Amino acid sequence: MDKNKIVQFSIESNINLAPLLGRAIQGICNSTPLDKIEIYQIQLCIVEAINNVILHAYDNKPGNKVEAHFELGPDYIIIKTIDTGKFDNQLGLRDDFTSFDPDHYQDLPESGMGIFIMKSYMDKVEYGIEDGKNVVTMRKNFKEKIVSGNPPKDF
Amino acid sequence: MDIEISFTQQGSISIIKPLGKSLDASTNISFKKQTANWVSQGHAILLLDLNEVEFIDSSGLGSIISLFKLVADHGKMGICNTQNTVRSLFHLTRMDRVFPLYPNEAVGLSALTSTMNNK
Repeated sequence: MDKNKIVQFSIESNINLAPLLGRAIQGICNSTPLDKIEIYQIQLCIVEAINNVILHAYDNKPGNKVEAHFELGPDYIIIKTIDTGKFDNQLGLRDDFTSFDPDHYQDLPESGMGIFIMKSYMDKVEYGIEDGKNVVTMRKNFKEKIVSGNPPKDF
Repeated sequence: MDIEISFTQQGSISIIKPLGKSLDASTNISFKKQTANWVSQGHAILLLDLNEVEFIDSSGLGSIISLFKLVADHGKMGICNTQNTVRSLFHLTRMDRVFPLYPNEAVGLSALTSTMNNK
């Protein structure tokens, strides 16, 4: 049986590089049966996660390392971002940006939607520390097989 | 990072068309600066044409919301030509309740003109 496909990326903490990494993930996903919207949602989640690392864990300072691990399983995808910046668990913050009154336009949020997007599009999102590094892990399950590979892991 | 934007005028309606493929954390500041400058020149009826934009993240969406807020109390803003992918983000965040989303530029121009005539 084929092994799960794992791709690892490493970029500098430069916000201009986050979309580039997103495009790389998009390219990988284009080789699967996932549809365009599903691919966009996965690409968006990883870009949001990387943005958070660069802007919050590293305070938008360049010169720091951001890692992204992308695992393509038979019917799931796991994305991990890894950094050595300050611990900044935002997963418990407000994550409902849909309860606004569209007529009160001045209350519309202009920022902070990243976690909400990640939690909405992914089936599981966790934040923790592994080997002294901050790790965000996201998992998306699919009903159909997307690639041949090993049975799903425990996460 | 700069994003190239086309600003054209059809009567009193401004068509704002980002020409880059991505409106995100790397381009949103440039987008906000250019569009705010355009609005400061007195343009208040806006049609944002996203035909070229393949990717928007939360920062990009925030910059669109910011633009909307600049004109909301005295003008109008609609969006046209959103790709299915980008439209899914508008739907998730329920911003499709805030901005009218038109299928193409002609429908957007017609709708905004109609709105102005009804005022």
